[in-house]
Amino acid sequence: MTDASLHIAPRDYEPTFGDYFALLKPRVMSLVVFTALVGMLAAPASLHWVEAFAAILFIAVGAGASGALNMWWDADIDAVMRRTASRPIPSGRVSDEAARNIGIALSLLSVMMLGLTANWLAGGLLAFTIFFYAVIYSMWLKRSTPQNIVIGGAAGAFPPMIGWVAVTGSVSIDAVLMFAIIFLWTPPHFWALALFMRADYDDAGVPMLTVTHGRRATRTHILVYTVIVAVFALAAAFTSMGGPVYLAVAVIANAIWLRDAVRVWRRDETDAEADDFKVEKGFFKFSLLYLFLHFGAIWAEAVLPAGAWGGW
Amino acid sequence: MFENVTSDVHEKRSSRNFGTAICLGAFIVLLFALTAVKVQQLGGPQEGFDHVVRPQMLPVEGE
Repeated sequence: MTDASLHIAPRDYEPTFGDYFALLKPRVMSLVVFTALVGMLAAPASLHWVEAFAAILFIAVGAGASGALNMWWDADIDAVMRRTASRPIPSGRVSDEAARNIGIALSLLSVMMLGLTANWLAGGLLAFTIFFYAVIYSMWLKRSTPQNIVIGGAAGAFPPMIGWVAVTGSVSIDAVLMFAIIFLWTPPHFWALALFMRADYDDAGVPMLTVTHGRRATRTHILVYTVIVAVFALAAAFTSMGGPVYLAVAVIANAIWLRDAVRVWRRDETDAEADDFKVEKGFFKFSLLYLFLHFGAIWAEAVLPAGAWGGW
Repeated sequence: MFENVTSDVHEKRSSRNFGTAICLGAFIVLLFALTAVKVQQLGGPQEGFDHVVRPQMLPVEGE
């Protein structure tokens, strides 16, 4: 009996509403809501609160729809990975056809409604994001290149840009920097996960960097990306969305994350296995806080009164 | 035994239907609120058409 078989529901299992909701990856959706909301608040304009609420909701639904399409396509991989074996499709709680249909229907609905609620550039960006995650990343890159995480990270980086565009109707350097921070943060975040969840990706045959280029190269990549993201994160402090609060947060958060990246880079597998990947797990946990701190600081700059702490 | 299984299935279906109904109801309310906001943003006084010709609807002579 494998770990995966422990999660399999009986054949006559009747799916609940929660099973369908789980297809939308609620935890990812909550991150999307947060970053898209920050993108909206940082924008130099505003929407009526009903429009803002609707725009955030449809961005989140679009993200959920792409998550459902990802689960439909990756059900075979999910079934062999311990971390994902209990998802609705591999556990037999929801059929793959139902996941596909829900994903397509919610994709169409979210794009159309965001276009009508905000503007069609925002709707178009959401459509591209769904396409990018479901087709470019899930169907193509994930199984074919170790750079899957690098390019696929763009899908998760779009929400703050969509939030910004929903308000302003155009893309600016601030929106691009918010995109860049998440885009460049994603690879080291997932590579750290791959370092201590290695059996999962090996079993599933996903060409993660740890499998194709080795763990030494992965540690080096983590350090290089952490340095690059620090440059972009600090540069954002000197745009219209930045300010003294953001700068202080960015300096401290990047110093800690860089220190952790150097520690990850300097270790070898013997050290890592000796303490059960303590440093790698610490780097991964701080990466979540890192993103929250940066976007929380952008939020703070947007709501603090100008001239005091908000903005330059 | 059979009754228990059936009632469990019915319970799950009913919770699913209830969840779907809540989502649809919320979507309708949101559409109504969005429509109201968009119409307000058009500016100027808004009035409904009641199928009766009123003097202010007629073109002014000489214009």
